Amino acid sequence: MWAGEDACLKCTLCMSACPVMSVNADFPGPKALGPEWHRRRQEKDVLPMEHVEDCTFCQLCEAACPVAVPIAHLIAQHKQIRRRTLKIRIRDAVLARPHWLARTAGLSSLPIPEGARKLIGIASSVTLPQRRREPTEHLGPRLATGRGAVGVFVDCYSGGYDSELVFRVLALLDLWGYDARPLAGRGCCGAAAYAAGAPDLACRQGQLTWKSLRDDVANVDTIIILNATCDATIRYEWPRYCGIDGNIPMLSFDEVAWNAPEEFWEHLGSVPLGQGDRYLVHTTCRGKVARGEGYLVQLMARAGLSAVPSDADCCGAAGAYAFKAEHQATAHDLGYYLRGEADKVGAAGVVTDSGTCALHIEQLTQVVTRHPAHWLYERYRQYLREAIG
Amino acid sequence: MVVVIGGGASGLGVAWDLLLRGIPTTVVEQGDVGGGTSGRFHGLLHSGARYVVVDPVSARHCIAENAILRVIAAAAIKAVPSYFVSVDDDGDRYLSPWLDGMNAAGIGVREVPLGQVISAIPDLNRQARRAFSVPDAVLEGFTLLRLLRDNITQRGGTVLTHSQVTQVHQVGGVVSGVTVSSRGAERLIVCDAVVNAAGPGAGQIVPMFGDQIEMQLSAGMMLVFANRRVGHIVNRLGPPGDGDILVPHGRTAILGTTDIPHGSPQPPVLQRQEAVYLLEQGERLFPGIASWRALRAFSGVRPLFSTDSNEGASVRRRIVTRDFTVLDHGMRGGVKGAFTIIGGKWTTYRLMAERTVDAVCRHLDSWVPSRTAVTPLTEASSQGDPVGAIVCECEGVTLDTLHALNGDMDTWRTRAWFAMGPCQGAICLHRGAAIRQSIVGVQAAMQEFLALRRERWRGVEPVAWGDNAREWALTEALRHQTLAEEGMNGR
Amino acid sequence: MGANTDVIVVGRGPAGLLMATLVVQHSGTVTIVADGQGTLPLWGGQWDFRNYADDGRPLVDPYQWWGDLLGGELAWRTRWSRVATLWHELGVLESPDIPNRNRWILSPLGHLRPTYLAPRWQWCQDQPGQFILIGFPGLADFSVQAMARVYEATSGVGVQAVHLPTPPGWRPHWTAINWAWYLDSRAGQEWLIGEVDRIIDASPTPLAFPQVLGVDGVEALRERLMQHLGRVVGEVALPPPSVGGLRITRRWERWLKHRGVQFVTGHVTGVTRDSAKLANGRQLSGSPVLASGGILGGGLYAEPAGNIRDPILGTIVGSLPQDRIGSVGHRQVRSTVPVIGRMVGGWDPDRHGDGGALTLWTVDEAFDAIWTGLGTTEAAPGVVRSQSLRVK
Repeated sequence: MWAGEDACLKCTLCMSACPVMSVNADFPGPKALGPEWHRRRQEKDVLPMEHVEDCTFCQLCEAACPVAVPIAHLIAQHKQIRRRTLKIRIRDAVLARPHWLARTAGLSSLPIPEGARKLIGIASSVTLPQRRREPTEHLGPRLATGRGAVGVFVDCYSGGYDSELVFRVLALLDLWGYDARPLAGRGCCGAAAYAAGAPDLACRQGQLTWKSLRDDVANVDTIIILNATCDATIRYEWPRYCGIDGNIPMLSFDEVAWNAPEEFWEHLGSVPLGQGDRYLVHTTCRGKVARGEGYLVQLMARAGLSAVPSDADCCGAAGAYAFKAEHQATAHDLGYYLRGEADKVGAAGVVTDSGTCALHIEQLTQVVTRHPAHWLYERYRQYLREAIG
Repeated sequence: MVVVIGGGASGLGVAWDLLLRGIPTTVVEQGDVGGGTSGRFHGLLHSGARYVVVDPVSARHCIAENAILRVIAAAAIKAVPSYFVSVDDDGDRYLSPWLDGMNAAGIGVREVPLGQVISAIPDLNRQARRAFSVPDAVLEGFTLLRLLRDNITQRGGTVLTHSQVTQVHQVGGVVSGVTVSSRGAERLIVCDAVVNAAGPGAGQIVPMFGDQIEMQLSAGMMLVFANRRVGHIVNRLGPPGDGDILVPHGRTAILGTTDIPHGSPQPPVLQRQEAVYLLEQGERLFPGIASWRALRAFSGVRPLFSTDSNEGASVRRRIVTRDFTVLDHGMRGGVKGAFTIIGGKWTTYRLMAERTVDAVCRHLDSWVPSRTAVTPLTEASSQGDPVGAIVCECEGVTLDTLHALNGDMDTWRTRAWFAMGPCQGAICLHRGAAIRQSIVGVQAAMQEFLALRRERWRGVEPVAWGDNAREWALTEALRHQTLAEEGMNGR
Repeated sequence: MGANTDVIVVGRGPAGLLMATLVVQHSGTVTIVADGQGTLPLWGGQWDFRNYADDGRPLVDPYQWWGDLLGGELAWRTRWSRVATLWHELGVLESPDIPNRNRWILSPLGHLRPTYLAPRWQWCQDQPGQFILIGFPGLADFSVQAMARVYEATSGVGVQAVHLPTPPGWRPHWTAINWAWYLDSRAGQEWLIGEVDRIIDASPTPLAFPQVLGVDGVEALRERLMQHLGRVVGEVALPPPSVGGLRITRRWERWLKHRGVQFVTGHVTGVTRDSAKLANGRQLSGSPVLASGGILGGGLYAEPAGNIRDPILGTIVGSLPQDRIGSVGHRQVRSTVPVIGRMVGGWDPDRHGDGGALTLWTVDEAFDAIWTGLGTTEAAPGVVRSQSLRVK
């Protein structure tokens, strides 16, 4: 048994915290799907419950639990035994391997007609990721030197669709005085597979990825993770559920950014705030659970931007969740909350630290949604343009 | 007509045996069926392996009855793998006499590779030395009692609950009838014999038969854990001792037991220090057991009886035979036609009943052989999948199930497992009270409700530690703050 | 991470949130660190002062008990007005004025129970009166017929009970929380107003609903119901999942978040006067305040042998069964690190119904203690004054 597995107090705080229950009337909720189903199963074989796959694995239930029942992980085990048609199994097998998709990223720019989407169980209205093509400029002279060697973990989404983000992060790190490079080892952390209810596959992916990273990690002081979901997976699922105990020195991008040279912040602060330059900041659900909330707002505020925290719990992107036809409505309703917020704030942009979440939020809010590194880069470019010309 | 005093396993067993021999029967139970010791045991169907060294007669009875019950009461027996595990020198020293005893008693035993056992039971002590598979099984006491009661009623027998025999009438030194007091009303039942199967209370009945006996009562505490953490029965190999057995029971697991001399047939007030002691003993088998979520403690009173008065109470109780004795009071100078069945254990209830009824038959002078060993206890109706709104979430008890049971909240508990799960009624008890109000009215429903609340507390309080203390703190806050359940004047 | 704020509040229950609020209102910076949701969403949302006397009788005038204690009635009124003002701002209370007496609320068993501050949506009355109970299908926690019978038997006033049918899309597993989310939707609101209109008579008798009239949209729905039906509409708080407490938690935490309060996920293992250590090895700088809860909240741990330990401070504060589960705790408001919102020796909120007063009083004392220690601050809300990064 996992620690805390038998501790459930039946207090229902997990149900109060569950975002899926707020939009999906069929969803039985974390208490029924997690500890209660699991307790029945200890006695005898029981069937998986209907709608278990509607869980987004946001883990907010687990974070709310006062007695540390691994609710979301119990639900992931529960999902693993659900029965699916061959068609859905094939689709899920592909979607649970974002590193495959990343390698064939060019393909998703091809239009997939409605009929074909239906056939393979892909949500009819969702935008598939497209490769971003934006130039990355040099950010001028370094503001510091000798801050150490860091390796940037290139997540599947950034690697496949948003390599410009990686270049911009490298440019910022260089500016801040780090000897930075992308880690040579590649692979998926397993977040998407875990979210899709394939924890065993997720852990195999994690183990392979760790194997390919290990040597490289030994040559840097720390690794930097851009995507909050990958960050959470490597921090928590790897050691606790996958037996990967690398004692990996890791930092999230925002932690490193916070430690950027004072001069950097002074430069950013010197740029006047444009009219209506307000940003909506969405901390991803996994980020909230793993680390908390408020860092990104602080970061954006320090960069001289007007930042408003979003009250949305989980945007509904959840790895490949929003791409699946059966989850279209739930994913839409979860993410649509941000549209109201963006409208209210009059947001010029949305800040979020996960590529798939950004894609989903951008589609629903119609507001440019990007990683904080993107916004810091843009802000610094603005400084360079205005201060230096 | 034969009147049986006591509606536990032995009483119902006697009644069933009498009916199968064509003798009309009425059972008189002071509380509810299973309200005494039969409802308070660890749920083990003994193979006899526990007794082969210290009590070989019991051991042989156990293995024979074990085989019979698996056939006649299949619905109440759950076959799960069962092991005796040696974890220390005590176990190793005990091994050779134990194996000899097993052979002598004819109980199948097979050594199992330790690696296999440890991988099946990750919580088991990693210092375990040897493990042996034995044919123990799980006996669901409440289920078997229900089967017995249903079959007795179907055969025309009567079970009077909340009733007491207040007087035994005789004509010429022979039993002629009894006076029964039922909820304030008295009635006379004419009968040819009386069987005292009152378990630990038997000693208090005997004076009505013009006889005296000295019981040796002992109380045994058990701990229930909230989850079925271990799906196997695990016994510690060694002389019978405290905390040496874990039995998976439904969605829970039960650690048994202690053995403390006790002066009254009523179960003792449960003490935290005894629960802690039991837990410490349990650690020999399961070193992490203190961190498992304990749910409640309960205690049963063993109706032991020493026929040799010289041994007295100084003899270690576990050495006192777990075998049973049938007393024919007529032959001891008391009333003729009065019998007492005493001692024994759940596993051998059928044999005890058979021997008792044999004696009754001799008294009635009409010999019919017992048929209980070959007559299966039939299920009145098979219960389909539960439907309807869920009232008790822990155990998945639905409104329809409760309505179908047609009983009070305590009946729901023993029959449907209502309020028996991890929340111990925190989330569901008030829902039950509302259902009962429509049937029995405000006053009676609230009384049932508060009584069940108190009953739960008595079991939770001695094991209120860790997560279970938090559960109880939640319950306390809910009942005072949200439910205001004791009304305005009950604080 | 590695944030440095004026105050580190350990715990997210009512005491923790109130402490953070006071600091923010005084332009200080706060980090709230917790490893779970606080217990606020388990309760209906009322704040109790002193609801019952020692002999169990309900109290009308709580100041009769607390007036002379701990600073007198005036001090208490000042304390209460802090909560009332904030809750008014959050939309929980109708007015920022504080009451001078307890009022009656209804329990899901049909009992009347006194309370001091109740959210505006709560069914509340000064004297037992008539009303209509609205039953929801499948809601086992709100059995209107049984409640009506108990209410009648205890108050002598007869009440009517009516039942709603199931709405389209209803599922048998729905609890209060599912209903509340459904009634936040436009479809749910239209359904409810239409059905209630259909089944009740034309009298102005008030309506008592279970506490399910929406999570975030309760005011709008309640307002529409009252306007449309021309009568008072209130809710009865239910056992968990308790929508009243959830509403307040969401509003309150958002209020704090939008004022720059950082929420850190973490398990605190130890504190000093100016730092808190987390289980993952990290350290937060600032003045810690323990709002980690009692036995239920996990701020106190009951050991098998009966000792009750504060796992962060490492001290033993009582033992079971000598201490009641509801009454153990300790008063360390003025010692090394302030402890707030926890039961103190002999103070038993379960029994006396004064958890709100306990929270208020301990938070107030702790705030005075640390704020005096910190001195005044010029920093604007939401701006972190210094940061230090510690690489793991």
